Amino acid sequence: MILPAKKYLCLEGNPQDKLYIVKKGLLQAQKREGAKSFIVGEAGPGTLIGEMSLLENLPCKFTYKAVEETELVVVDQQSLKQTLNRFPTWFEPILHFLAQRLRQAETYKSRTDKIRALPSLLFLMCRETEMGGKTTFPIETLIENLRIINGLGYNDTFHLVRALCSLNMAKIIPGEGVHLQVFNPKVVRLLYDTLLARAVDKKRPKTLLSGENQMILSAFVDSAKAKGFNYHDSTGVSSTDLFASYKRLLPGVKFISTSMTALGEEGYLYTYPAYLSSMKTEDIQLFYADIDKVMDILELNRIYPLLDKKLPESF
Amino acid sequence: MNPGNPINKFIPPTPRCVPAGSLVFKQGDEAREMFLIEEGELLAFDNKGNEERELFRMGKGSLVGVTSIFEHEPKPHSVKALTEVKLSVVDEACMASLLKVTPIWLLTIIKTIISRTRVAKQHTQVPLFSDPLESLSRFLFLRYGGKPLEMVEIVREYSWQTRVSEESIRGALRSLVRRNMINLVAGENGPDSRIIIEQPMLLDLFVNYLICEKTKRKYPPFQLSPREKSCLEFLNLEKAVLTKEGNDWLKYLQVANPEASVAEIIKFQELGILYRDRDPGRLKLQRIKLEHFLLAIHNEASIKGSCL
Repeated sequence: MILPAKKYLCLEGNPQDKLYIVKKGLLQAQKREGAKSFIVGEAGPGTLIGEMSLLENLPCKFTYKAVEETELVVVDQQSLKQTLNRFPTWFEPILHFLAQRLRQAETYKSRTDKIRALPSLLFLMCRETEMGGKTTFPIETLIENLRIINGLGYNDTFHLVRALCSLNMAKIIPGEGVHLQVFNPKVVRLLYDTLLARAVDKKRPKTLLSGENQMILSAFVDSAKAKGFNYHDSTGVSSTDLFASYKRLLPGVKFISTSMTALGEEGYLYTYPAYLSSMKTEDIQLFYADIDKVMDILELNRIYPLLDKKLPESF
Repeated sequence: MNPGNPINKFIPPTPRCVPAGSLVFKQGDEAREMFLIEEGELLAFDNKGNEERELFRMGKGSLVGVTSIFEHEPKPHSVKALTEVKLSVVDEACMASLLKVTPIWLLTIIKTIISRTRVAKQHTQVPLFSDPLESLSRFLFLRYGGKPLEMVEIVREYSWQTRVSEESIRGALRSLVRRNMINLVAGENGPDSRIIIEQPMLLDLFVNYLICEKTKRKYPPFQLSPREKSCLEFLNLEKAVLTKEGNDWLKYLQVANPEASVAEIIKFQELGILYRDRDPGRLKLQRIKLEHFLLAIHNEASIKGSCL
């Protein structure tokens, strides 16, 4: 087959079931990244194009364009079948086995690359929102910085950003210049610091709360929204109201006042009078806290477990 | 079989019969052979403590141990016969005799697939980028918040983000010190334990220079003529916001350099140092851009690494 200069052999993503072997000439491999196309390599004499398309019917990985007139040998399904007919029957399954292993290895690598780029992405989101002071910023800057710091490509970064959006952390705003809107920059910072603390200290960070403590804080937010009052520049709720919310959220589960020790130590929730382990639940008159801080920490504890569960599924 | 078929020259697999309950191979076994199940059923298992844990079963027509022959990997698990099993054993000699008569294009497919699999597996453990200096410089530029950075924390954080080894990071930091991009000073954690970045923008310019080098583009600040450079130096002396008409800019620059021409005005517009103001016909000085150009020019040796 002769492909004239400047003609396309195949287009990225298009179905293909043939293998091409470059005999003479030169092709350029291009990959789409958003609206742009980038040159990612060249295919000269001896290069195979489409081995996975021939064996596994996978679509074209890249777009190939002839730089000069190029001569190619085409191996189609029929030629493959004729060749394999001359071989023992167990030879063909070996080829498919090796092709499947490659597909699995590349899929695993692609997924791992994205998951491992998450810390850098969160770091960059923190930087944009904290230094730039805006919750909405151009996504191009984020992608470019992630490419430089981590090496993740444009398309993979977009997948990763979409996965974060599916966790309800941010939103992609389409338009001429695509923007990313971060819903709560403080939660992004908390998440980044929590992941870093977990990786560095090799133990559960204090920002990750037990189920019991999460429920107490949820009951606080629930009662504060309905009956909260200003208490020394923070939000206060009466113990009666908090216990009522707790009962509604967790029917039949007893409020464990000892949880207040950890919540107070971490600065999330305080009681009046100040909590002592010797105190009984009924001694607590009111609870108070910085409600924004409580809501941020609850949001972190909602998102954190989803990272392991939902994020890999998104890829 | 066609007597003229070169495939007839290949060494056939060896038949083997394995009684029920017997081991076919053990986990970690390095024998380079694979098996085709002709009859019966095999069980793959591994041992957790003293207990045998079933992984999967394989029946007639299944291939076992392909990677040991193609990728020379030890067997990832043990396999035993559940029933009496008839196997065809394909050893290296048998496979080599078959590959000898395999068309070159098919052989190349096999080699390409195996090599791509190996690369994909190895590369899950290494950073995706090729230049840690470029990555670390951008990280430091973005991480710097005006205060000295603790080396231990930075190394840990950057290593966590990128999987670059701590040793390589310290090496890259030393390289940045030699380029006068950062300084190391004594801190609570000992000598050279704090990173001082006097001109963070220099790190950013350095990254832009490295990107230009990598993509074989010319780095604009280093392409300026001596006349253009002297014009930029003169522009930098004026700290007020400057907006002028094109001709006035020319007269202004000719004060510093009588040879300045309209070519400089056009060049500075192309570089974004001068840009069209809201007022038609007037050009405004983009001071930040000018400062970046001059910073790069004044630190050319550090950026290019010729100071090393």
